[in-house]
Amino acid sequence: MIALAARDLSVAYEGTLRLSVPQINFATRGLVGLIGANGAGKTTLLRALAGLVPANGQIRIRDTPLDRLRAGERARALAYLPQNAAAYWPLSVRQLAALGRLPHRPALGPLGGADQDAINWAMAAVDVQHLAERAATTLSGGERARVLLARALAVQASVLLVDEPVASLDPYHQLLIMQVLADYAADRGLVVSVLHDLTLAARFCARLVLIHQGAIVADGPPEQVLTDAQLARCYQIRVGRSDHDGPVIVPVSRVDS
Amino acid sequence: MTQPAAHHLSRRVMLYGGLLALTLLGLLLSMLVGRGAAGPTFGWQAMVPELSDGVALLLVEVRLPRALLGLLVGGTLGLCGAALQGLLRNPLAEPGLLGASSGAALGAVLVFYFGLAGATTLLLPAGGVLGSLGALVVLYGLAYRSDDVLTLILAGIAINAFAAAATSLALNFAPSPYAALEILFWMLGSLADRGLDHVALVLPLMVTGWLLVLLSARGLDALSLGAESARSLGFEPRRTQLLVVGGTALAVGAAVAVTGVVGFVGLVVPHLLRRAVGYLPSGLLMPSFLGGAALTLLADTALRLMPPGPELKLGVVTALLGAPFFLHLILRSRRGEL
Repeated sequence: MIALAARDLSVAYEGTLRLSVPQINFATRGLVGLIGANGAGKTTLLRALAGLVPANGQIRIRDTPLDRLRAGERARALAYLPQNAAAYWPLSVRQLAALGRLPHRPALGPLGGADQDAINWAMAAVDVQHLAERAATTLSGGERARVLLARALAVQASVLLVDEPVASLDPYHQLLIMQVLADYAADRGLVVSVLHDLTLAARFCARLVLIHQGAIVADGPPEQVLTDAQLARCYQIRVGRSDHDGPVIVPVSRVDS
Repeated sequence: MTQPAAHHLSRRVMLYGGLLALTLLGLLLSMLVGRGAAGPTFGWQAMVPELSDGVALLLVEVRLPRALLGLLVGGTLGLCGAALQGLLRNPLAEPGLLGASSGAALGAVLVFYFGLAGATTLLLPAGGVLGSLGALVVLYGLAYRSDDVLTLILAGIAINAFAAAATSLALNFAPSPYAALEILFWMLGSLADRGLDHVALVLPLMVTGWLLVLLSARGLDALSLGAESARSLGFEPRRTQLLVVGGTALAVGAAVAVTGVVGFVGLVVPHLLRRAVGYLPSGLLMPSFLGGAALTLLADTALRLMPPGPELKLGVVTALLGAPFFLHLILRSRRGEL
């Protein structure tokens, strides 16, 4: 069963082609890692899949073309957490998580029971319930990242697209967030995440999509994608590998072409 | 989870109740308190059975429009200030920022300049409304393509600068010193000497503007996560911007057209109430309407308690109180407390 699919997808900024993807499909469950060097087109692909940038080609959620969905329907089906997400007012953590319920709510009226359940569930998933009444602007970087993820989780969409959710987090919270995403991908729906840490990508994702210069150059299980040859070509790095209950991949030197 | 929810509810009921009571008090005082020899208790005489027709006439023809305009104009400024601060995600935004006020002022001044104000009392506000709509059209011409708030602010600054220059030009070439003085006084902002026909002229525009602004409520909440997240939640930022900017131009333009420029209400009121409503932009809209109405009515009533002499203009008083407050805001925001 296919949750999200793109065909003949291309994105151009100011006349320059930035992304060209003939075809890509995502199943209804599973955590998929989007990897590649800075500027390769990972974020562009994610935003195009979310319908947030003008793109040519066709994107389908299940069997419905994305552009035929109304804004509210799209927002309920597909949640998106941008890179460096922010909150502009000192909203409480609970209020911030509750913003994830906006696509589900009528134009007037308070939060319903289902909304409250979703908010509580999302805050519990990222372990921020004890912060519920704190102002989001007073949180540490790690706490804020978790709260903003709770906002995206609270949408309870069948497709969750997240851009670098563990950037700037300490190792403990990197592992925590990756586990949250893996659990969501097992129980609730598809998760596509841009990732930079190759070890986390290899350990948590069953499928990796490697992007290089706006095109997909490898797509499959981590051991097929993270080969020495691919990493040298796309990242211009050489890596050291070992195994501790799973793969460990550490960059050790640059490869200059 | 029920207890904090109940707590929030009772706090909201208290806030709304308090603001509503203040607004009603403002309305009542505005009807009862007069100026000059008649004294502050003048209005009570209307309650006496054998009242003279003159008193009833005064209440309906003079005090009622003044009180209604205080309510409408103050509410408009509070509501639109709150919405603009939410849209621009900045607590220093205010309704005059986008050029609607200065456009309305220019429109009215041009009516003065060509000496048409005497022809019919409604020509002046009509000129103001046309001026604010003109400013809105120019604003869209400059900024509609972009959902970037900086473009919007820069376009507003350009319109404000041009309207101010054109207004000065009109003063410069005023046919007589008397006309120049009249223009100046009008621009100071006042609720005095307006009639029910003024209320009828601006009410439809204001109500339309309010509705547009209120329709943006959920979109403003989504925007507190930034434009991209708002779009992913199904609230296109450009649509929210259209509602807020269009609604503000209509309502504030109409307000300025009948009363002149009453500054700082739209800046100060949302700021005073933001913490009490819990910072969510949608929750700030109606409290700011009530707060703006109450503040304007009470300020306008306080004016009439001043010793005899030329009456202080409302816009002068709000600016005198508002400017130091604005400075206080800037100093606090520099210390990172906003």
